[in-house]
Amino acid sequence: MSKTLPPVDVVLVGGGWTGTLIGKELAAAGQRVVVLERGEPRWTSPNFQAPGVRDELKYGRRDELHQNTATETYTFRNRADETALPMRRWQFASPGNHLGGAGVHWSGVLYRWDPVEFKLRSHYTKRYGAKIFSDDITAQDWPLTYDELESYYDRFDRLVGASGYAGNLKGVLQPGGNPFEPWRSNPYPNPPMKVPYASALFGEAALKLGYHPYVQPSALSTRPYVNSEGLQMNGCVYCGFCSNFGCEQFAKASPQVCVLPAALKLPTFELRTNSHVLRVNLDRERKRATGVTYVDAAGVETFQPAEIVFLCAFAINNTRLLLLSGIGKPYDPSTGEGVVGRNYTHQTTSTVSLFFDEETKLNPFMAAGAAAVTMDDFCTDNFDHGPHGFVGGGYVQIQVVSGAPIGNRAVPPGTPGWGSTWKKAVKRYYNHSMPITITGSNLPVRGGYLSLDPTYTDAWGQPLLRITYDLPDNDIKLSAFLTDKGTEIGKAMRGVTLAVGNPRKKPYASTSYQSTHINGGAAIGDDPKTSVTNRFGQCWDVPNVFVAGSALFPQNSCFNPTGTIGALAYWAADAVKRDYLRAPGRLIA
Amino acid sequence: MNRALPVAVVGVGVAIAALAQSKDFSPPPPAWQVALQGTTSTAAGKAIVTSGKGAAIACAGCHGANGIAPPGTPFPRLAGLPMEYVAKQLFDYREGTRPNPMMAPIAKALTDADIASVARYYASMDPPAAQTGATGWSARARHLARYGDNALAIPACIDCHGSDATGGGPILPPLGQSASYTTAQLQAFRSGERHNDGDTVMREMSKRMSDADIKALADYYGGR
Repeated sequence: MSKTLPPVDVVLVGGGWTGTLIGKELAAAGQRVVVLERGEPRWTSPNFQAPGVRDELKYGRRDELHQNTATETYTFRNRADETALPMRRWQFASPGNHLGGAGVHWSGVLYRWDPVEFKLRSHYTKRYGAKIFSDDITAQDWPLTYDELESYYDRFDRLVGASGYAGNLKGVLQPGGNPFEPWRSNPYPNPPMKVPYASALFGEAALKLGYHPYVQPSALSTRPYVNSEGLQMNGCVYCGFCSNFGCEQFAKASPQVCVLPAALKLPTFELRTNSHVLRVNLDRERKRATGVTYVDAAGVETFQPAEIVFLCAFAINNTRLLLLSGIGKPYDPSTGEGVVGRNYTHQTTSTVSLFFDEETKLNPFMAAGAAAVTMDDFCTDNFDHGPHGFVGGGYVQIQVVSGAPIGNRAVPPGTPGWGSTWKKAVKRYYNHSMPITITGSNLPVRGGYLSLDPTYTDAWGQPLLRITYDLPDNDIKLSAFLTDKGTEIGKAMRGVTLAVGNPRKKPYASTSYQSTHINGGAAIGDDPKTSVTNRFGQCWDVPNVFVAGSALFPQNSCFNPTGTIGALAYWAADAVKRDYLRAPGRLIA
Repeated sequence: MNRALPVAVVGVGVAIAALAQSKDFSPPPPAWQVALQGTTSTAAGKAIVTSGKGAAIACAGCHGANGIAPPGTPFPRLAGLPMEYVAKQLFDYREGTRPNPMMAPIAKALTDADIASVARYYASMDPPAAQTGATGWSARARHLARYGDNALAIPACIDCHGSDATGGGPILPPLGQSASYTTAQLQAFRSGERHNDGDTVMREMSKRMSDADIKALADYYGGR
C-alpha cells in the first residue's frame, strides 16, 4: 500500500540540528518545508523532567534516545577481507534518534575548528613536506576556509547560547584566554561555565607545566538567555545529566529549545514525526530528485514530492541514504575510484586514569556535559610535528560529565572484576578517581569506507550500512604522544597517587566507545573525483539534493563536530536562499 | 561540637570561574561556608535563638520556640532547614542581597560564628510532620510543580527542590512554607528585590509566572 502526498518545496530528512535549522531558514524565506523525523516527538516539558529523566539505566545503558539496533544498526569490520557483523548494542558511538536527534543527548561541547583543519593536506605538506602523509591516508583540503565560515559560526553561537571566554577577538589575543583559539568577530554571548574541582586541579597542573589551560566553550547556557530566535534558555544547574539525557532545565541547547518553537510558528514549516525515510526518489535520467519515500506512523509507504531534498539524518546515515538512492558513484577501495562512502572517520580518543588520595574529594556528580578545563597546546598544528612524524593533534582535559553510579566505577588496574575486593575498591575510589580525556583527530584511509552490507538488512528490508575501517599508524603514533603528555600532567596534579595512560591501540573496535562523532562518506570538495558534494553540500550528480552534517567531513578534527555542523548548515541555507532558488536545479557556483 | 560537615565536601566540588581570564580555577569558598567550617555549637545556637544576643533579638520570638512560626504570621518555619541554607541567608541579609528590614539588623548583630551556630541549631531541630489531605491546590500548580511549562521554558519545581520538596544545600530551601511566605518570596524574586538566588534562576523563573501561577504554587506547597 502506498500513497502520494501533495508536493512541497523542500523536504528535509531528519529532525535534528541541521534539519530543523535549515528547515526554519528556508521556511522563513517563504519555502513550503516539511521535516521528516523517524522518531517520536519529545519536549523538555514534560518528557525530560525529573525524576524520570535521571534514569541512568534507561538512557545511559539502554540507549532510550539512540537509534534502536533492533530495527536499524551498522555492521562492522576492520578490513575488506573480513565479514562484517552487526552491532547489537551501542558501545562505540550513540547515533541519535527521535525529535532533536543527537542534539538532545549531546554533551553541549562547542568548538570552532582551527583554520588549519580546513586546509589540512596543503598546510602540512607546505610545512613538513608531502611525506608526512603516509600513502594510505586520503585526507584532503576543504573547499572553503575558516574565514568564510566565521560569520556562520557566530550565528550558531547566538542560536545555542554559547558560553566561554574569547581568546582571540578579530585577531587580537585576549589576556588569559585560549591563545590558540581561531579569531572570532564577537565575544561569547554567555560567560564560561563553572569549573568542577577535578578540572580545576587539572588546570592548576597544566599551568604549572607551562601549558595554556582554559574553560571549555559550551552550548550549555550559563545564565538565562534569549537566543537569536527569541527563544528562552535557562542557566545550567550542573545536575550532571547531559550526555545521553535530555536537559530538564532548558539550558543545554537543542533543536527543541533553540529552533523548533520558532519554526513551528511559521505557516510554511511542517514537522512530521514517526516518518522513516527509505530513499530519495530520482527521475528517469537520475539527475534530479523528485522527492522522498518514507514509512509513516501507520506503516504506510508514502511518497512526498519535493523540489529540493536535504539529507539531515544522523551523520553517516546520510551516506547510507545516498547509497540506497543511487546518488553518486560508490567508492571502490580496490581501485580507489568512486566517492560515496569514501573518507569515513571517527575520533582517536584515549584516557589517563587518575586515582587520588582520600583527602581529595572530587564529587563527580557536580557535573555538566561540557564542564571542563582543557588545553589546545597539542591541537592541530599548534606544536612542531617535525620530530614526531604524524599529522593531527588532540585536546587534553578533565571534563566532569556525570557521577551517575553505573558508569562511574573506576578502580585501579589489577583490581579483581568482582567480589568483596572489587566492592571495596569501588567505594574507595568513587569520589577519588577521574580520567583525563584526550580527544584526537582521525584520518581517513584508502581501505576504510562505508558501503551497503550484502548480508544484513533493517526492519524495512533495506541493507544496513557497513563500516570498514582500521586506524592508520599515524593516529596510533598521535595517540601514544598525546597520552604520554596527558600522563605527565596527571602525575603533576595535586592529590594524584596513580596515573595510568591508556593510549588508543589497534584494532579499531566496535566494542569501544570513541565518542559519537562518526563522519564522512559524503565528502565536501571541489573535485567530483574525490568528493560527493560541492562547497555547499550540493550533490555533484543530483543538484537538487543537499547533504548536511558530519557526513561531509573529509577527515575529522580533534574538535567536536557540532559547532562546525551548525555553521555549515547556516552556510548552505544561505547559499540556497541567495543562489539556488534563482536558478533551481543548477550547481551553485 | 564538631562533626564531619557535608558542606565542606559540597563546597569544594564546584569552584566558580568568576573570571576565566584570571586562570584561578579554584577560587576561595564563600564566607558562609568558611563560618560553618569553624568552631560552632548547637548549644551556642540555642542560646541565641531562645534569648537573643545584644542587638539581635531572640529568633524564637517570631519563628517559634520549636522553630515553627505560629499559623497566620508571615514568618517562615526554620526547624529542619539545611544549615547551609540558613547560614547563607543570614549572610545575605547582612550583605543586602536579601533585603529585609527586620532581619538585616539582626544578622548584622551576629558574628560569623554566631550565624554558623544558629544554622546548626535550626538544622538539628525536627521539621513539622508533613500534612496529609492537603487541599486547595489546582491542576495548574500540580503541573508546574511536576512537569514545568514547555512554552514558558519553566522546568518542574521538583527538578531542583526534590519530589518531596525537601530541598537541600545552600540554595535549595524546602518548599513547604505558608502560602503567604511563598507568595512573598516569589514576588520578591520577580521584582528583583531579593537577589540571592544562584545564577538568577528564581528571579528569571518567577518573571515568567503569572500572579495566578504564583498563588497556585503557594497554595500547592503551602498545603503540604
